[in-house]
Amino acid sequence: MANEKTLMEAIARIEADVGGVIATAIVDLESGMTLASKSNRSDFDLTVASAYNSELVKQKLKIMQALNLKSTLEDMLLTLSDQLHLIKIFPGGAAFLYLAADRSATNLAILRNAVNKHSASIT
Amino acid sequence: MAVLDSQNNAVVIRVVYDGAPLAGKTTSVCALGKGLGAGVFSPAELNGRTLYFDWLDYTGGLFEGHRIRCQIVSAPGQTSLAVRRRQLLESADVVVFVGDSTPAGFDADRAYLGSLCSVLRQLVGPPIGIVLQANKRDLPDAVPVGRMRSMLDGMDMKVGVVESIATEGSGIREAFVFAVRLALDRVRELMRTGELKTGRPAIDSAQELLDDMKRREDGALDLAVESVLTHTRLNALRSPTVASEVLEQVVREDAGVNELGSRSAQAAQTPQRSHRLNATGHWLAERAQPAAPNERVASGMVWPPIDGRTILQEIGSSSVQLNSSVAGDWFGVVNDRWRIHTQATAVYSTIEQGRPALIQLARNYAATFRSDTVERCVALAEDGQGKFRLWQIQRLERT
Repeated sequence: MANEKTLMEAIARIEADVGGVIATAIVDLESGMTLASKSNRSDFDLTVASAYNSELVKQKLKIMQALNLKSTLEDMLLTLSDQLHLIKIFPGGAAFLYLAADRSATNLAILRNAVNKHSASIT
Repeated sequence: MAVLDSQNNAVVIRVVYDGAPLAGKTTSVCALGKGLGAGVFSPAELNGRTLYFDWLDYTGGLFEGHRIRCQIVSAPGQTSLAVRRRQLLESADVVVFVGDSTPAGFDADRAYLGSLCSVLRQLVGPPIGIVLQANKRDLPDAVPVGRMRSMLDGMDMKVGVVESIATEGSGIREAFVFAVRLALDRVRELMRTGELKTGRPAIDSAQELLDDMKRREDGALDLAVESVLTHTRLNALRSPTVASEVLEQVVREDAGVNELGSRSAQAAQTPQRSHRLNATGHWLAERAQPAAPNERVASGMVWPPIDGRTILQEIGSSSVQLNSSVAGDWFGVVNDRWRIHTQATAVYSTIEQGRPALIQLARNYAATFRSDTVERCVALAEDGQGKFRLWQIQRLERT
């Protein structure tokens, strides 16, 4: 995993490619602690979101194990009425990127493309 | 001092930043606070030097459904304040030792690490994990990380190492998150043994900690410090003995190492490459190399829990070349210090399937190598191919 400075630079590049980013974080899966984070809205508690999203990813991995699925969880795309959330799990599964964006300013394809494009510098 | 604060649905842990004077403890805590968006409280300082502690209170992450509340304190480094330093270290669930990477600071690091170990050795309960945050890596004369690891080996310490530049905030959060994981490993052990306390933390704020420290000292140390306080200079900590011991270690390192003799028939097999010929002389397809374990192994899947994770942290930060035997085992040597090995049959579809084997192997090790457990560990890790492998890691013996 890259250092915090590199992670923040990657976050900045992703935000440059995506309109309407509300918040972005790189999160340690095991503890739910953020390794790097940037929130563009004071009312969006990224610390809380990161912690509970780590539980979401862990639960999804448990579901896959229970179903005996052999594939790898790559990302999770969530559509809210006014926001889009993307969770990108990094190879190795120890950390993930969490991004929330304004649904009126972007779409899932742009989110996914921007994150995949800049993920290589993160891992 | 870990506590389960059920009223606030939080597990409270204490992360103590320790180190020699001027190593960068306060700078690290301030940089961490800035990154986490939390304020740092320093009750008292003199000429920029910490007299009591720096306090940072941060809640984030989740552990077993509970929020993780971190009381982050930095200990004063000056020798005249050793009593206060000791009191804080005795309350730690994990220690981030901020190491000064300058040649002069390197000797001081050794002295302070020694005293740190002395304090922690006297504490009961699961061992306190240590992360060495090797600071000042931007300086041109910074001691190579390899020499720092050699120093730790010479002191028989299993410590994770993270490089940092505190003035730039680089490496600070990485060291902190790793420290939190070590602390949570300890909390899990306390829960398993029924020793985790529940209720309100004994010290719940910076003011309470300050009041507690003053009450214990009864004001005597304050008076002494204010009247005769001088900067503890690094030269005062040096001695010819320390420098010659370090030099001796470097010489021994240059002499090289021997590979550990095999302990089983399988281990004695001549290593085979993944490419091999079949009966008709054609090359068989290369067997897919599994991913080596690293410090991100799931909690509860590494034994011993804290020392083992620090061993995995070193392995994870190094490049690992694995070879496979004819039988299908995988093995390799990391940094000329560790031998890692997984048997062909030690593959499991789920963690639950592999856990009994992990427990059995850990019991065998604990029974067989009672005085040597910190020189080896076992881990159940994802192999990068959708399965889990049981790894055995052993320290290579030196000549």
